Amino acid sequence: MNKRRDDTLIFGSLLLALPALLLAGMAVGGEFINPMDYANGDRLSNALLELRFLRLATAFAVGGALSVSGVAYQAVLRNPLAEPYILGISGGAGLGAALAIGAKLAALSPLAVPAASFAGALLVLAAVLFLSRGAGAEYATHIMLSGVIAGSVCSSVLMFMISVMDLETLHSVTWWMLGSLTPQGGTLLAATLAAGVAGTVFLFIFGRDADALSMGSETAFHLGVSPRSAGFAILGTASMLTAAAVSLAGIIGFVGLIVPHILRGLVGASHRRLFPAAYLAGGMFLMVCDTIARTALYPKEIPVGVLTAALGGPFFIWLVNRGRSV
Amino acid sequence: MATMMAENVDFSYPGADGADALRGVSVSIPEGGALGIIGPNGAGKSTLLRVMSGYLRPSSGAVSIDGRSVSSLPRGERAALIGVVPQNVFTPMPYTAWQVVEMGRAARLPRFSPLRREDRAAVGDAMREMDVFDLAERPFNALSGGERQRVVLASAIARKPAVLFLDEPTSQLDIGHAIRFVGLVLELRKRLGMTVVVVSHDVQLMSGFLPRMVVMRDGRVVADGPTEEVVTAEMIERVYGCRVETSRRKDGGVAILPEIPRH
Repeated sequence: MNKRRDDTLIFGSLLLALPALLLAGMAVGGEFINPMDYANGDRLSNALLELRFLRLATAFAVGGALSVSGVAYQAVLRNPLAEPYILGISGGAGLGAALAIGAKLAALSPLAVPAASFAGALLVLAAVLFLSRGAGAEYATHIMLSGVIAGSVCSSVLMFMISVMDLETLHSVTWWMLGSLTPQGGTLLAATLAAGVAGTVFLFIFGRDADALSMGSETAFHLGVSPRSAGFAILGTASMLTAAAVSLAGIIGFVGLIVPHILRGLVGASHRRLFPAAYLAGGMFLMVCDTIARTALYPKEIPVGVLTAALGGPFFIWLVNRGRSV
Repeated sequence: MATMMAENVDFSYPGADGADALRGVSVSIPEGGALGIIGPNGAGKSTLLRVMSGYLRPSSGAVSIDGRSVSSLPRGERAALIGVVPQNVFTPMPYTAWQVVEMGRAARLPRFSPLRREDRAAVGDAMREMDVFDLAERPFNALSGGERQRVVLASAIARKPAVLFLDEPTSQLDIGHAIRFVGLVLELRKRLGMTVVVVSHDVQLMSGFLPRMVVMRDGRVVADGPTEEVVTAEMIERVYGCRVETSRRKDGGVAILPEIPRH
């Protein structure tokens, strides 16, 4: 078994890739700026570099949180297609955040939006689990359907809110809804990064429980894991991560589907490795996506959610069909 | 090694309209014993296994291991004492066979302790015992039914439980694999001193191997004793409603020959 050497190699390369991608992402944009010239650069290009850095950090925080939460949902719900966006959790978090923005709670505290967003995510999670309880062998299908329905209910409520909003509120809500990684306040970014790291560490500690739960609740029980309390702890953490990501950047779909799936091929399915790897790789994945989104059609910018959906939709179909043919 | 007791256990599934899955079931399993729980479909065999292994809580009565109530054992301790090989283990995740066996070993470790050298050795030993060591790096889901069964058994024995429950272990296996599997389980019981409980509706196979039989029907124990005394043509006709001939095998156990109606 060369697992230890493999781990060093995988986590070593992920950790080395991070600063490389960061520097590359800071360099490209409307004009090329060498980030190494920061020490003696002019004020304009340094300001641009700082802006790009914040945007990359936002992308990392959001992508990492979404992809770790995808891994967690997939393990506990025993469904490799589960993902915060498809499960409607992102929709719930989005609705919560939009309500907070609409009610101008954001002005009170920068953490009001993520708190409302977390509440929305938990409500949808509870609804989805409730709707699919007792579905037995059909559980995996039911939970996806409940998620899709919960997601569309949330988005229609959001649409309704938008239709009755005054112009000023409308502007701030839609601006947030577009799923943009334009740097928000520093507090929110720091909070999302902290939530992401804390959530990933917590899930790493529950890694063996996630392994056991993915074998089914009865097997998990015999492995000494309480399906109920460990399941809720993991799902709750996943929803907290989703809420943190959504309140920072709006609804960005499919990151939690694509990244975990590719990672299982690279680091294996063991969750103690998967959670930290998903945080790093998910963060970098969204950094790359966003850099493409903001430079490909420069000076026009593609919302990064559009890009991840364009990648993720076909990927989802491919995963579903692959499952069918096996 | 441990003694297990179920005393006067009742159980009904929620929403089952008072239909009891188990009614006044008492079974005692001595240290190092091996027994089969047999009976027709719906007799309550698997429910009894789930109650005895602690997964289901009896509505009344008690299940104990060495005098301690199974449901009050701390989770980790319970997992270290009781190993269960369920009927079907399915996971959508691409674990390797090694990882599945490792999960079985990890069940006896505290949350924060990593797998040490002796734990990895135990995983390797369990896989060698079950003749699946060569499959260690293969994806669990790509293995055949018989290979998966042996991997899951390796996962249960990797933590060296005192009592091992097997739920319909041979239902997916052809006769060759089934006989080898049961033989392997009995050999392990001797070598590791485990108490073994097998739930099965394969009366023929179980009667040939296991020294003691508990026969269930409609949630009750209708017979319990040495296989030679319990497994008789009358019992089979009464419980299963079919006619058979039985004969004692010279190496112990009972051979069952069905009488097939010819027209």
